[in-house]
Order: sequence, then structure tokens, then C-alpha cells
Amino acid sequence: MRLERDLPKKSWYKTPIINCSESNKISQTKMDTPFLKNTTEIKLSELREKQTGRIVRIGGHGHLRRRLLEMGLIKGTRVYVEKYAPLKDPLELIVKGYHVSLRVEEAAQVILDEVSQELTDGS
Amino acid sequence: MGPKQIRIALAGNPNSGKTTIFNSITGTRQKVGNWPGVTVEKKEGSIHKFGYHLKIIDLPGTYSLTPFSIEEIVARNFVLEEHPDVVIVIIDASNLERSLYLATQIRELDCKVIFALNMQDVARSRGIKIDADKMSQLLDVPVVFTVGNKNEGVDILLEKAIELAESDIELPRTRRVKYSKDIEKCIENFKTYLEKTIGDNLSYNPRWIAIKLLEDDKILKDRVIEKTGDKGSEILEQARIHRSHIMNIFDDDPEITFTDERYGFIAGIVKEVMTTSTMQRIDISRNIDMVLTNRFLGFPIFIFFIWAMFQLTFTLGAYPMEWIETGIGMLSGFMGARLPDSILKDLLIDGIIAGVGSVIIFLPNILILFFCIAIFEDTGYMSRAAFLMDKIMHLIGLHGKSFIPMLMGFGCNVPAIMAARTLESEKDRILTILITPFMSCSARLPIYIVLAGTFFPRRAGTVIFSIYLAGIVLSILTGRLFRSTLLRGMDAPFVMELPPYRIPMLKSLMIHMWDRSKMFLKKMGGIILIGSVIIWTLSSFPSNIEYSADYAIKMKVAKQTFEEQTTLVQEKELGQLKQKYEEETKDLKRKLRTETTEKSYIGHIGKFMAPFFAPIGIDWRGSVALLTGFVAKEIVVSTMGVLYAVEDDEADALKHALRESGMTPLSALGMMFFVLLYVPCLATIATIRKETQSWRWALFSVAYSTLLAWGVAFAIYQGGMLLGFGIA
Repeated sequence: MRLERDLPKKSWYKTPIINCSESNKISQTKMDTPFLKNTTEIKLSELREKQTGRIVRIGGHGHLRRRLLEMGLIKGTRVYVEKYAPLKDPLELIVKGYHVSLRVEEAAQVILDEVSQELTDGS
Repeated sequence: MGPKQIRIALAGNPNSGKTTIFNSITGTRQKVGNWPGVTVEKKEGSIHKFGYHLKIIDLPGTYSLTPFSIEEIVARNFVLEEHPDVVIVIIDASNLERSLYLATQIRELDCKVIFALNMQDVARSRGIKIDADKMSQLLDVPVVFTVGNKNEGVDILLEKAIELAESDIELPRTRRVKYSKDIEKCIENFKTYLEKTIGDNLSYNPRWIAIKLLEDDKILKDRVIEKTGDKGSEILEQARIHRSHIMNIFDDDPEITFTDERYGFIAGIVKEVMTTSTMQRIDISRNIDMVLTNRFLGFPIFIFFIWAMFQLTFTLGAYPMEWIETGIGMLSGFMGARLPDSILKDLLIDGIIAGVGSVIIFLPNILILFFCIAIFEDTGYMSRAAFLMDKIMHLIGLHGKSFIPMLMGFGCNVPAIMAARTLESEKDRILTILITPFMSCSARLPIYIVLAGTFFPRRAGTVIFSIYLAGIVLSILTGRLFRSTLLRGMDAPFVMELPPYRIPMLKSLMIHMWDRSKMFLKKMGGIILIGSVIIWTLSSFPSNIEYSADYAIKMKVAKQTFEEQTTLVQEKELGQLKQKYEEETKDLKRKLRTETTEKSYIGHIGKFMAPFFAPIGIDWRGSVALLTGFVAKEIVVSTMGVLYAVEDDEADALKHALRESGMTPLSALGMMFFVLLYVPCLATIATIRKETQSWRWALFSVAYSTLLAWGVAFAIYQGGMLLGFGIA
């Protein structure tokens, strides 16, 4: 258990996952205040491992949007990024107590706020 | 009259333990088939219990009943159209919220529903407690606790189901999924309108029709138009007006609002019935995943598992394969000795036994392969494999799970194509099936060895490797091409659950394995049987060939000469003479065989096809060899042996004869590529037909691969000629 508790901190500093320059900026601001509630809206795909956030809305349309909602990714739900696949796509989330994986492009449709670093999972 | 029949449908999320419960109810007495018209597996089982005849139907595992995927359509239509007496909804107790989403949707269909709270043990270990009585009361549905893999609660579940089926409770029930005031008002308005206009034209519950039309349900819209005729467009127009009303209030698509509200309703229920203790839990599944999907270890372990599966399938499988081969050999030997000579005997031994035997030999492979795949699926590793591979496969426009069938293709295309069943989206499945034959299967290897060994003796390894590589490259190109043309359309969302790891139950593994293998035996048997008879007929008729010489007399003459000479010569020279005689007879026999093949129908076809093969540098003998390869690629080498006039056991002689025949390294290369790409074999075509449920895809695959093979061989041969590589 101790190992697990230590891991997040390590990955927090050692493995920043940066998708685009824009996210870089947002991440920078978060770096300064990693444990404070953040009201900035951010895409789920821009979250790093072991981060959690609250769903504000789901973008996209049709099939994908409906599917995400049906899997329980609805407004107000907290999601936790468990890990990214070794090739950085897809990513694994914990939502409503179960594990689900999304492609990065799909995760980009999920908009979050209140992003924070958590030591345990998001449930 | 026998006992009364009750039909019970099982519904639930994937990984909710639905299959386990189905297995523990029905045991091995299950029938596996397909739902009509689609490739979704349908499982049924019948048992006698409590004085009733129970027919259990396992609906496809889904997360919802929105008619997006085939599984969802199949499940919904079954409940709507076939009216099962009871629907049991399996609810994963450790995953209550999401399970209830499907459950409430089924409730809305207004059928007799009973909830099975499954995997209560897992939930309890996670500190989750569920108040079943309260849930039963709140939703007005009987609730039963079950632990599927320990067979707990299953009998009570069935008892309750029978009780419910026999009761005359009133449908629709009063307690239902409640939406917010604005939406309820809208539903009520629209429902009243529908009751007036539709009347008895649609047998579904009007409230449900109202909700679904407000959700813009395409299938139901089509249904409404079909059933109500002229009024249809008016009804849909009304639906549109109501939809825009909701859209104005909530500022979002009504279907999204409905989903939100359903989850809201569920959240309320969950709050009432579920208590979680803040117990410190050790999540074994997460710990396993720290290794198995680890950034550094994930791939090496995955590769190891695949390698192990490959090894088991093809190395361990080689032993029983050998036994089967010996068995078939003994059978045909036995038949050969016992039956009187006749055409029927030839048909039986050379046609049927040889043909079906060449396919049945794959049975051990298929058994082992499906056992391994069942382990991957039942433990939950399959979704991790997809998680790891998705990025790569997505480049070809495929799902992560397509990787396993494609890889298996290098062993044998038949089980590989069957392995594509693990893909949920039909488009992904068809695309995977279409490109899998380009994975060069092991039966093609002997052909490469002969040709590359003959014409590229020093670089055989490199040549063969580049052919394998070319197969992969062409499959990627084909994948991209089809994805952007034939199988276009939005990618199905990847969104995939990573279920907790579970220890697989041997019983379910065995059932899984046997189901698939049974299907292979049954369906392959028929088509292969017919195919073998056709090929046999083509190669052994017409029977009254006019030979250029009378081989029987020549043989007799040779024998006579030999016998005469033996009496004349001395002991010392006898051996020499005998050898000479044996060679002579061998030569005669070979000439006879060559001529028989040449003058048979297949020979005629080969010669007829010669102009087709000429531009790619293959003569009529090569064409015949390739044609017979249609049955199974293994045959190509032996046919070449016959046609290029050598004995089977003389590999070097075939090489020599091939070089003599005027074939050049260039045309050999062309031929190898042709072998790589053209129609895999009869068994593969039959499998494609079976798995895609359509002859169209099977024939398309034949046409496409043959054309591609010809095109590539043509480019190699003609291009090479232009560049001046044509000289031997």
C-alpha cells in the first residue's frame, strides 16, 4: 500500500503528459497549485495519470456522446485517470467505481473542472 | 399435455456474470446459434424444474437498450416482439449504478421483470451493502441475491421467476422511472396524443412509445411509419414539436436529457438502498493491472502470452494432428483394402476422406486456440490486450481486439477468422475477416520453401520474410482502403469496460471451447464435403482418357524384360538390373499420372486458364497447381510434384524440374506473391461465409484477393521484365 501511495507523487513530477501547447499552459498553472480546487475547464484528455476531475459536460455528437453518457459519464460525476496505455492512447478511467477505457480523441470530448491530484482513486 | 413452458430471458451488462448464471441454470444443455440475420451469438437452454419446462434465452450483454449496436437491437426486439414470460435482469452488485441503467430501461418496456443482484460477495468485499427489500419496494420489482459462480440463489431466482410468470400482476405497473416535471408533462401530452392517433396499431406500451419517439429512436420511427401508414408523418411531426419543446427548456438534445434524468433517478435509488463503509480495501485487480498494463512491462508480457498461445496451439496441437492424420491414413488404407475397386471407392477415399480429412486435422488447433481465447476472455485479459494494442490497430482503422485474429492468421486462417467473433462491432469484424487471409498461414510455407529454395538458394530466408512482410503491408493498405470506402462510417466508440480480473471457471471454459468447435465441425463438414467431391470429380474425370501410349502394356513389357533378363544375368548384376527396372516403372507411373491430370477436367481448366496466368509468368502446370490449392494450400506442392513429373519424396528433383521448366526467379517470385494473396482455401472461404453470414462477403473476399494477387504478380513479373530481371 505504501508503494501505491508514493507512486502518484513520482508520476506527478516525472511524467508530465502534454498533448498540445495549450494544455501545457493550463498544466503550468495547475503545477503551482496542484492540491487546490481548480475551476478552470479542461479536457479529460489533458489530465495526467492519478488526476481527477468533475464532469461539466460531454461534447461531440451522436453515438459517442450517447454512449459516454450511458456508461455513466454524466454531468457532475467525478472521474479519475488511472493510467494511459503504454503508447499513450487509450487511457483508463475510474468512474462510478468501475474501470473504463477511452481513446484520447474520445476523452477530448469530456470537459472537466475541479481538477485535482488525488492519492486514492476517484470513487 | 406436457408440463407448461415458461420462457425466461436473461438480460444484463457484459461482465455482470450473466453467462455464469446462464451456465449454472442450463449446464451443458444449451444450444448455441446466431440471432436471425446477424452475427450475434444466441444461446438457449431448456430445463425441467419445479414441474415446469423452462426455456432460458441469454440475451446479448449490453449497457443500454438504445438501438445503436446490433446487440442492443437484438435484446430489445426480443423483449418487445417475442414477449418472454419473464425477463431476469442480472445486476452487478458491485456496479450498481451502471447496472441499474439497463435495468430501468428494461423496466420501461413493461414486461414482467425480476432483478438478480449478482456478485454480492464481491460487492461485500468492497464494503458495499445493498438493501434488497427496499430496492424491491422502490422499484416494485422482485429482487433476489445470487452468486453465479457458486450457484447460490439460482434456484430461488427461478422459483420467483415462475411465480411471477404465473401471477397476473397488472402491467403497466404504477411505480416507474420518474422524470422531472417538465418532461413528465411532455410525455403525458404526447402519450395522450398517441393513444388517440395510433390506437391498437402498435402493441407497445404508449408511454414507452412516447418516450422513445421523444428520444428520436430511429427504429421505432420506422416502425411507426410502417404500421400507421398516412398518419405516420403526422405523428413524427408531433414528436418533433415535442422534442423542440424539451430542447428549449433544457438546452440540449432530448435524448441526452433523458439519459441524464434516468441516471438522476437511479442516483436517488442508489442513495436509498446502498451503503458503503469506508473500509480500506486492497483492489487485487488494480494491482494486477499495475503489472499487466504497465508502461514498460505491459507489452513484453502481452507478447509472451500471445507467444505462449501460439506455441500451445501449433506445437501442442501438432501431436493430436499427427494422430488424426495417422487415423485417416489407416481409415483410407482399411477402406482401400476392403472395398472392391469402383468409382465409388475412389470418391470415398480420394475425394471425401482425403478432403474432409484435410480439414478435420485442424480440430486440435481450434480446440486449443479457443480454450486459450476463452481464458483471455473469462479472466478479463482480452480487454487489456485491446487496451494495449488499440493505438496500433487504430491506425488501420481497426479496434484493439482485431490484433489477435490477425496474429492467429499466421498459423491458420480458419481459427483466426473465427477468433474475430470477439469483436463487437460488425464493421470491425468484417474488416478483420477480410484482411486476415493476407496473414500468410503455415500451409503456404512449403510452397515458399520450394520456390525460394529453388530460385533464390542463397537468399531464401530474406525472400520468404519479405513475403510475410508484404502480406502485413497489404493487409494494412487493404484495411485503410476498405475503411474509407466499403466499410465507411463513424468508428464505433472505443469506450470499453476493463472488468475486474476473475478466475475463470473450468466449466465455462469447456462450454466456450466446445461450442465453437462444434460449430466448426458441423458447418465446415458440409461445405468441405461438397468442395472435396467437386475437386475430386474435376481431377479424376473424364475417366476414358485417350493416353498417348498404353501404359499398362508398357509396364507389362518392362516387367517381362526384367524377368527375362534376371534369368540371364549373374547374381552380381541383379541389383543393378532391379534398380533399372524400378526406375523405369516409376517413370511410367509418373507419366501416367501427369497425363491423367493433364487430360482431366482440371487439366483442361488449367489450360483454359493459361492465358490468364501467362502475363504473370505462370504456365499451365502452375495454373493447375494453383487451382488445386483452392482446396488447401498444402496440395499445391504435391500437384506441382505430379505435373513437373517428379516423385513426391524427391524434393531436389522437383527443384531441378522447376528450373528445367523455364521458370525464372522472377516468375517464381510472382508465383509466391500470388500464393500469398489469392483465395486462402476452401475451409477459409467457408469460414468467412459462416462468420459474415453472407455469401456476398465470402465471394467478395475471393474476388478481391484473387484480383489483388494477380495485380501484384503482374506488377512484379512485368515490372521485373522491363527492368531486365527476366533472365534466369
